[in-house]
Amino acid sequence: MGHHDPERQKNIRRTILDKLERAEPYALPEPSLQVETNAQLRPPMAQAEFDDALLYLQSHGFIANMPDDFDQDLNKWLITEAGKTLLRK
Amino acid sequence: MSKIRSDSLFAKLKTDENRDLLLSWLVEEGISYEEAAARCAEHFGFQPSEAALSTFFTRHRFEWKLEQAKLRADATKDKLPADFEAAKKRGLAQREFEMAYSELSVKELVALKRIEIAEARVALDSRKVAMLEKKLAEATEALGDESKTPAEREARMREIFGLA
Repeated sequence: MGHHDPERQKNIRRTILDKLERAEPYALPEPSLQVETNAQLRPPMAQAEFDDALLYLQSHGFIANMPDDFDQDLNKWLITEAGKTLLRK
Repeated sequence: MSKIRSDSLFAKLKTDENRDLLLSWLVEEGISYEEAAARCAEHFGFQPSEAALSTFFTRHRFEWKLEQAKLRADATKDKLPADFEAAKKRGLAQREFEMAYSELSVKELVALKRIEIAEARVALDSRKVAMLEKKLAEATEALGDESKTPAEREARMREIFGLA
């Protein structure tokens, strides 16, 4: 099972979307999202796997970054309608 | 919510009652995963791995944390004046959500879950008492019903207490 295993990548993306959908209507800060996603994966994700999954999900419009005037350095993620549709497929 | 994997412990437990029972062992009694696995074998007819139990518990811990954090954030939002700018309202509620989420420790969550389980038990006991009181009233009435023969009264008593 490696970084480029398609099933593994799919599983990571799905787990991320699931966590974000449960947090709705609030956004999950990236560190919390990573911890919770990791807790459900065997073996745990490498940082690169997590970063790749976020990049894929954002670039395809399945998640969105929530801007925060209080803390601009912290990424917070929300699931989009397209993300919810993907989760149900 | 996403689809549940059919081979997951959540799916194997089949009903919410079974899931609550397993959670009550883990949370209320605080038994180890090893002991929980043995109890599952005894009660449910299959023995989950410790990893599966850990995933199950982690998933629930996440949901409890979300639930509590959402409650606090919603309460903050509700306290703000109605004419407060919507975007700022959302931003402050989000802030409260994050603070609550990061502050909640597993210890606090377990304590909250224990209270929840205890309240559910009290509610269940109250329902049982109410049912028993109703049966008792019916039985008293049946016993005093002179229009019925002793055999009919006995049959009615059996019916009330489910002995027929």
